[in-house]
Amino acid sequence: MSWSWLSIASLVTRSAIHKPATRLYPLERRAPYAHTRGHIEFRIDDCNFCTICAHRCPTRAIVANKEDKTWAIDHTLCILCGNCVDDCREGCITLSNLPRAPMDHKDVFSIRQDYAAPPPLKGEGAGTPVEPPIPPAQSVPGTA
Amino acid sequence: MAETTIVPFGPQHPVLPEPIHLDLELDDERVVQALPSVGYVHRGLELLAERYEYVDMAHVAERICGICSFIHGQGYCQAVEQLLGVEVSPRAAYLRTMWAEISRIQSHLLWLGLSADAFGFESLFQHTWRIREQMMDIIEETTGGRVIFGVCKVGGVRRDVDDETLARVGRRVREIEAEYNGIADIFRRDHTVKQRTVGVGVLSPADAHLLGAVGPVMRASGIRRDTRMLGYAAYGELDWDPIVEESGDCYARCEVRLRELNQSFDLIAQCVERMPEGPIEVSVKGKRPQGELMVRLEQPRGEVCYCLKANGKKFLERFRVRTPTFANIAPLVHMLKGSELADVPVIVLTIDPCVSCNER
Amino acid sequence: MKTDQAAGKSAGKPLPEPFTEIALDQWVQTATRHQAAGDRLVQITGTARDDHFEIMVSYDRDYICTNYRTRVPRDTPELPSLSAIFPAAFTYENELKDLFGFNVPGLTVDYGGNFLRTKTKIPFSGSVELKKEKAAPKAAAKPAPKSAPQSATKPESQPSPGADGV
Repeated sequence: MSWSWLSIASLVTRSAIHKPATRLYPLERRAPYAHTRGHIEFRIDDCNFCTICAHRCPTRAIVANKEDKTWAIDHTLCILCGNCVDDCREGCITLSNLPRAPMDHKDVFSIRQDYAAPPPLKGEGAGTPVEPPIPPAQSVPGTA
Repeated sequence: MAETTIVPFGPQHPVLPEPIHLDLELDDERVVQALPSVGYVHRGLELLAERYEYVDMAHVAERICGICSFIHGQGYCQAVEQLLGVEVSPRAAYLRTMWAEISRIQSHLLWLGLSADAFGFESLFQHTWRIREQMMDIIEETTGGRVIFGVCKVGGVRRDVDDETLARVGRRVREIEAEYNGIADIFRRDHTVKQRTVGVGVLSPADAHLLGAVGPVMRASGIRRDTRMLGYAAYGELDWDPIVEESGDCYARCEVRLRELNQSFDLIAQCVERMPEGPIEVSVKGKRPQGELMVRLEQPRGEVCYCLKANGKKFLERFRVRTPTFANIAPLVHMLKGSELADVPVIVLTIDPCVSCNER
Repeated sequence: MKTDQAAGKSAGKPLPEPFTEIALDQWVQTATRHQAAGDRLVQITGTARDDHFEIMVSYDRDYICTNYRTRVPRDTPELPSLSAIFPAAFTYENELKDLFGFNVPGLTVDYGGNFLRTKTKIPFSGSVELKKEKAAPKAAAKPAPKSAPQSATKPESQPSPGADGV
């Protein structure tokens, strides 16, 4: 194909004026789509530790312990299949569309639930009200 | 007899997307013989079928390769569904077809970019991948993931696409096609591209048949065969024809893939138009696969065979995939004989090597 | 279920393509018969079972595939070559040689064990041992198989989802 100087000049001008096709990440980020699989989010408030999510996880990324009342997920093993989201009967697990923050070391995000107050001692101090402790949601040191 | 030198090509090479090794025996600048060597990315995925339940194995099957990932998942799910005696709903079949064609488009666009890079035409490579990014955006919007779709499961698909998104996909596909046609023009008419590809790596139809070539390599030598003619998923109900070229050189293989892209855009538009209503999945709870069978699908690179054997347990007994790249190694070795050293990267790339599928 | 037509497309499920068992001495005759009919070789697969190797072969004509299976005892792993009849067979037979230690007389293009590069030669003919992971979080960690004949080139301690592609 033969290129005349006019067509070359118009192509150059068009390319110079047009904005770049790339995005200046990380200064500009694209908003993810509604159904993008970003990362798994978990709320321990309703969890009854049936451990179905841990059994259905194909990569064993979720570890749920009924006795200690802990729930942990290793985000590096999670393949975002959505089995846990579909199978959780209480609706504690959701799939967020934001991408997971990059990690520079292996991290397991673990949550512990203390919801039962210790039973009052029989006999002494039975009348003293015992306040239930505020359930802490602590994570393994190292998460941002 | 002149002495020959041996030059190793790969496993790392700028044109190769994945590691494959060829020992090229050269006489001056002409290749006398090529000795292939594979096995650099073997991960033992076929053995995992005996460790993971057949429902969870769909996730592993999808991760055999990143470029052809959806069709591996689809093939596995189709094979297990046949072993279970389960038939998917029409809407699931159409959705799978639509996603398979989208996967084919992004794979061919990736290949076009890599082949432009192989001749050194870097700006064309970048423009082709820019168009591919728009297809990846459609994939992310409908399935949730860019490379690994994660939508195919045994019994149907995991995720539905609502009508508004479908209509938008149909419109967007037409827009992307118009942009793509400009790029395709350059591949067809540019003088430098033609110099690098016309008459290079010729494979005659008789050789293609005897050496077991599959996919665009076979169709560029004049053999009219496309595994989608078997009519799996929704292909039996859509209007399309296999694309065939006659000359059998690298230019013909490039042309087959360029025309297959247009065909895929058209197939997606047909799927969107004819998408039936209904459920997207069939429950397979409690069923166990039994029997042995072989299922063939058409990947972007050619015909892929899945041989599955099950004996009524949760775990499959044997899962074997024969990928198109493996079948195309024999024609590759034949084409390399007698070619120039500078043409070797172009010839290796025209069979579209997807080596991570090749060695699971 | 409609049957496949040569020129047209069929709607609905593709036909199930079953495997026929044949004896080892009919291996070459079946191949010659299919080659004379103009068939194409689709694949040759090897599987290691407890006491024998199972080799499957498929031929295709007009979208209909015929599959055969034969058994080769482990102490005499020998398979007559099909590469004189189907030139495409040489890659599959080199793979069988490298993975299972087969002896394939009559192979036209022989790479002499260099086709598949593995750390351990003939990886699929021995027994596999799975290392149990140290802290299995799930109580139902699958036990290692007793003497499963198939092995991966690197014994895997935990099934991992594999690598993403491009």
